[in-house]
Amino acid sequence: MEQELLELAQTIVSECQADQAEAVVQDGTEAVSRFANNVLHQNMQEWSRRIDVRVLLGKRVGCASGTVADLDDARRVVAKATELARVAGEIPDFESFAEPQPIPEAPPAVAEDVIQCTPAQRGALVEEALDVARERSLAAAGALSVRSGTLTVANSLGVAAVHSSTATHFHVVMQDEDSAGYASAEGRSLADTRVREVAERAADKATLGRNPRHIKAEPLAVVLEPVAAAELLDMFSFGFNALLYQEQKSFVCDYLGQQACTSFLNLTDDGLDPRTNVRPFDFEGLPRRRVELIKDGAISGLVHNTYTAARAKPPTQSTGHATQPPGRWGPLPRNLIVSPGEGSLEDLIARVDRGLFISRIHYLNYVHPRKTILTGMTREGTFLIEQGQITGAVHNLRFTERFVDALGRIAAIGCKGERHGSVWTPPLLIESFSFTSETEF
Amino acid sequence: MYRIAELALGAAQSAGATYVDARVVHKSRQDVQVKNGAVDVVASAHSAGIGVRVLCDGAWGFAATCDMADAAVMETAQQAVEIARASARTMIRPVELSPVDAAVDEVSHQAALDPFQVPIAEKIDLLLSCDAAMNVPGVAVRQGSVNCTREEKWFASSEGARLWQERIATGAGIEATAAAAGEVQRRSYPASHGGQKACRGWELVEELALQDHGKRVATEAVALLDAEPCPQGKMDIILTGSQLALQVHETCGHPVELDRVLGTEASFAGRSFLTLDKLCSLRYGSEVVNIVADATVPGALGSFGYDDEGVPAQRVRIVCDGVFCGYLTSRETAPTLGRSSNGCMRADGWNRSPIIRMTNINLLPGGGGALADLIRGTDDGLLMFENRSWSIDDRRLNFQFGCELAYRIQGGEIAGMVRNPSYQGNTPEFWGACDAVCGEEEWQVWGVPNCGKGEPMQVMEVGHGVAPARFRQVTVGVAR
Repeated sequence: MEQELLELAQTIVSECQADQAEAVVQDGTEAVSRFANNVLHQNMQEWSRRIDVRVLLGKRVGCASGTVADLDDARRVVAKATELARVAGEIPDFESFAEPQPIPEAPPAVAEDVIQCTPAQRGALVEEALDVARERSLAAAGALSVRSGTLTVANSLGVAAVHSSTATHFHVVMQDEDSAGYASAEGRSLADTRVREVAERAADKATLGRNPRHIKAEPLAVVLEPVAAAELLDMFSFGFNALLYQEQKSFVCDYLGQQACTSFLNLTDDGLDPRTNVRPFDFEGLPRRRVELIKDGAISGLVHNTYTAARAKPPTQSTGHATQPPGRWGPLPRNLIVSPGEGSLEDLIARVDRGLFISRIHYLNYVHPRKTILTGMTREGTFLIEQGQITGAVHNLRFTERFVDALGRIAAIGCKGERHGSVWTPPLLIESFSFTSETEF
Repeated sequence: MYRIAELALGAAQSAGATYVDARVVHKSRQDVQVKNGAVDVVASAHSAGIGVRVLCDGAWGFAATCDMADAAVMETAQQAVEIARASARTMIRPVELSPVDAAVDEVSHQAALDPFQVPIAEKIDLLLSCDAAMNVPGVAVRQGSVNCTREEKWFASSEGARLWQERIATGAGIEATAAAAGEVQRRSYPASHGGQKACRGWELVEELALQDHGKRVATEAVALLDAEPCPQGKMDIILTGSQLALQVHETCGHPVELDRVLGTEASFAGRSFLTLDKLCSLRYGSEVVNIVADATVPGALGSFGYDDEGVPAQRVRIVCDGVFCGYLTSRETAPTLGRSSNGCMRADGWNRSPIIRMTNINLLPGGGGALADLIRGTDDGLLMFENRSWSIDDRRLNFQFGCELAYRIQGGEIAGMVRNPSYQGNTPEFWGACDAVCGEEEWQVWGVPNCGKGEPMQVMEVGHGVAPARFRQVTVGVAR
């Protein structure tokens, strides 16, 4: 399959009469089994093949994409991109598509059990979670997702990169009368979803969450479970986008080189790290370089694509973080890793005199991106910690926090991390986090 | 295309499906964006494929492919049946659908000026003229965009429905970002997050007169850098245009989706405080608050002919004189209420199964007169424009919004610009504090093209008709 997709991309690029051409082919299958009220209620599978083509004529770039079933479909996408390039205005500072670079060998990224997974197998896995719900008289809602796909990039300058991967994700909310608990797991194989264990964790939280108390919204210490920490770090990481930096929209403009965070915080992006969803190259076919974004607490790096690297002062090399064409949002880190610290989750909790344990965050959004002010809600597993122990559940709270400052108040990082989305992180203990309003549930 | 859809129906029925619908969808999009005096993006996208939804053994299955060769379509239909059989393993009771007349119809949404026929060069010239108007000292980023979409959809069901629909939509907007010494401020026209969008043609862009607003937008962005910060405390606020549209979207549109209420979105998008016991009894807002879901508004972004279950577009009451009285429903969920579907099942393309989505959730005009009347009647307050940030809890109660700009109102008059304005509240308390909604002359439908819901994520285009409204004693300035 990989060879077939690479030949497709190289064929249409070689046939193109433009100054330069680039083709990105994404081919894959995705299946999602959703359940709620202890029943599978949405269950789907999709196969798609999509091509994104960029064509360069002088300094004019045309972009076209399309779903394709055969070579003729792909040729039509190239023709459309060429047609658009002819009428597009010039991009004065656009230099070139990417020059080829060696792609390092990546760790294994395909799990055969995902490739072979049938609807019945997905259903059986979901039933494991439903069994837990029924045993505990809870209502389960969640989803099991399995994906397999191949990313192929080729351009007329000689870039030729292809990589296949699989990914799995399972998450569940266990609900009781006045409580709910969330847990999730993901990886590249079905085994990584650990369905029964995850369901048990969520059920434990739902049970522990009964009779939640109301507490006043005020600054409090927080222990962020990896899911919650990952959601915050993922949103925060947009600021390492070199395009936002060049447009003066990023917090990095104010902090580059400065000791903004706790001295033992290290945040890197590494597409080859097997703890993340391995991506050896980006959407321009360039190797994803390891970038230190926060080093020993100092804001230390940005991620680039070819365009932002050429515009940088002084010009630099792409770090291999181009996003899907046309890439208008700029380069993004998608393989983030927080270096682990010492101590278990329980050790972090034990260090809190009074604070909150947070399982999950809902509807996180920037209030002010340049200042990294974020707001969001806690959700499905918010517990009060008193004198080093969880003493019960509390109603959910809203926080409004300048996150770069919060990273300066990290008191401890746990030793054991988890992958959630684009981030692998251990739990974090933050000495003070600004809660600004309350709920009744 | 009906031949392909019917091929899927036959294959699924032969495999044991008791109900089947198939949608063949062709969707095209064109984007032109200009930034800082030069072209940034000229792009087109085309997506085509078939999605097959089946009931088998009383449970749902869905499969989709972009390969529309006969063999692939039949295999996909059979996959959908296999998936439904897997779903049935967990079934408690079989799915029952409320009845619908099997319509055979064609619905064409004619744009006065086909946006795809407008030359790219004309679009670039328009945006470059806006860009030039925004070229004011202090502005770091000037940006403008136009986009258009065309969707053709063939729907066929085993009950006999055969529906072809065409839908054209056009959007446009400009924005200026000013930056200085750690502060960044943005102003947009006619709305933030990409501008206005509607099921109309290029005539919409012409009516917006983007170039006439470029200088104002840029000047306001720069002025905001040195404006007074938002006051903190409780005061009256007046919400305008697209910000009020988003308020309706988040605090009314989402909580009345019946799938949320019944728990099927609990693990992702969340649930709703509008539980079944509150129907026709909860005071959602003050007596001036009247809200409808109306998929029949001509030209509105949330309008269509039939939903993706073949149910005709409808206008239904959601809030009547402040009392909550209706949900958005589907054929599967409506029987819970003893009703038939009001036609809100829509899918984001061929590769997604339909779920309950907003149509146009409209706050009806009231007796508040013009915006100037609301301002005159406000002693101490904030007049807020264009959204900058939004967040709401998973029951749709606790919300916090930030806007691009506000003006302080003192003694019934505008008293000065305010930066980083924000407000926060609880949904029924907030709408209960609404004491005036402007009249018909101020009423306008705003398109929200990026409503996210479902797993895998589905992005839907919806609309909200609003006229400016005033809310008494709201908490402001939490996030300044």
